[in-house]
Amino acid sequence: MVKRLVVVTILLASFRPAEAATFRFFGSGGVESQFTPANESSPLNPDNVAGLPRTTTLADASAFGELLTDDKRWKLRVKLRGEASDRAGESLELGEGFIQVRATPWLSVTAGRVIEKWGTGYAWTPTAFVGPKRDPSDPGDRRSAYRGADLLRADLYVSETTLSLYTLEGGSVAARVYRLIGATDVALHARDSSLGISAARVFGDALELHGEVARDADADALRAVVGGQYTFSNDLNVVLEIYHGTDGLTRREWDAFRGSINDDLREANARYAPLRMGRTYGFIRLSRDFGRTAAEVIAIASLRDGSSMVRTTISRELHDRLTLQLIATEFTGSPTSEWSHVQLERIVIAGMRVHF
Amino acid sequence: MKRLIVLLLFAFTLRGEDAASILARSDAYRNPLDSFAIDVELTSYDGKETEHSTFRVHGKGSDRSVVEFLAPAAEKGKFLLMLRDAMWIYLPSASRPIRISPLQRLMGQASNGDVARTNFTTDYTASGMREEADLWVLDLIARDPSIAYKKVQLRVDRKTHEPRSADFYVASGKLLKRAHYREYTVMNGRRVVSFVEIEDLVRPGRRTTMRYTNLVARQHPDSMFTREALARW
Repeated sequence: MVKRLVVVTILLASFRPAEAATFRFFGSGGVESQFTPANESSPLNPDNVAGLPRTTTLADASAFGELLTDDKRWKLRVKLRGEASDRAGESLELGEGFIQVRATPWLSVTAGRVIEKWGTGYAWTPTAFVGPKRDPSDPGDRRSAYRGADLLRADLYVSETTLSLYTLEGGSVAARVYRLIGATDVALHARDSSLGISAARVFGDALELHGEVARDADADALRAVVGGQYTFSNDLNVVLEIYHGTDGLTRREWDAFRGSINDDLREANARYAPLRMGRTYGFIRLSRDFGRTAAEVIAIASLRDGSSMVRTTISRELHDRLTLQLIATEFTGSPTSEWSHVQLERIVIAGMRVHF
Repeated sequence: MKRLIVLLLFAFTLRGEDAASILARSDAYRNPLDSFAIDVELTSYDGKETEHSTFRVHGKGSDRSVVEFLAPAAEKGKFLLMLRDAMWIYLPSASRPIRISPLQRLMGQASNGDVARTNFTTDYTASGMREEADLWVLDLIARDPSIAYKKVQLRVDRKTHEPRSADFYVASGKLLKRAHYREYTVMNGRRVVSFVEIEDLVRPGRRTTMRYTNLVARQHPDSMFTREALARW
């Protein structure tokens, strides 16, 4: 850690733009009300023992600041995020803060906190050994909530191959090799003993297919995702994915979990995590813009029991800087299914976001 | 007889070279510098609503470009990389560029390819040519099956070689869009296309305009036009 700080300090101290620099500043702030009635029919939340609030009001703001030289040799980037809630108080965090230097045409070095998102999956990215785990129910990171990892990275461009080497907090090391082979993106990913491969390719003018497989040594699990994206001529965009992870629960393990709920309700609530209580899931996203109005439907189903989560979003751009959003999330499934155990009956969010 | 065949072959070869040469001269009005940056104001009309966006296109050679999103505010910080017909988009909240298809839209009737592509020579072969009043009509066929529009019919002014319009066809033979190169201006000492209007022929009444300004020569290293370098723009 000390070595890393020394490197960062040296890089910052030597930041002397040789030519004109550009400053970019942008971001957004939003406020929203969440209506979250308890699902008292869930065995995990009888009579709302979890004490879940019926309504919550949240406000958040994310600001990105970038300073870079016109020759693109130096770049400083900061992402600050603040959040306040009538239930949980306020917080302010540095989501990203790094300096990037192109030392030679074939070598660049990055030091600081960086949001790295490896992989090609839309809802799931099993090869994302570095950086935040993606939330399949919010793959677009609506509120810019991702926080980066503290790292030192060297990117080497050799021919048309990029080799990225990482040293991360806690002494962990990682590497990634990327190359466009033919028209296919291919990347190999590694972090300590974990390994993965990802690929993506566009066919024709509207179809994209992707897939990734990863062996997570820490979880002793194999995870894989395959999917595709198609854009119809009427601009309807469809994303489909199938995910499988051997660290999810089997049917027998799920049944055992359900049998243990009444033994220790607190422990059962701590263990229950949607999308980790099964091994195979399906994801579909339909989206289309209608002028300044955009509609999106996301459905995620457990392919073991057919239960699902459906999230519908309607957003309306009132002005170039102001957007209104209404998001409704429903859960369906038989009483013994994964999604019927969610402690909330539904989630309805109404909010607005201002961009600057 | 042999002489006649040789003469005919020679004539056809000349004609083929003419079409390619006309295409190259026409493209020079859209992509006059080898390494450049240019601002694009895009306005989209769908019959009811109007949307405005601003981009800066950084280009190198005939087949590499990066589109920087400048406005509206909600789009700031995004970048689009186009290497021939392969495209990736970079979002500020994520350091990983996402592979996208050419038909995914930037805004309005303009697809990513419409804004990022600055010439036809790289992706198309001039397969035929005819005269039509004071215009040349060039039939351009995509060199690669991955190109979004399989055929383009380009109309070029016979006196100036300025492009006047282009019809874009998909593989089924359906005519989807028509681009009109409406205005020209001198930027960086060169006469270039400065205003383009794209008609949506599938949904009549919908159209997009693109106004080009501030063309400047910029030296971009090759390594900046890679997927991994998108986060460094």
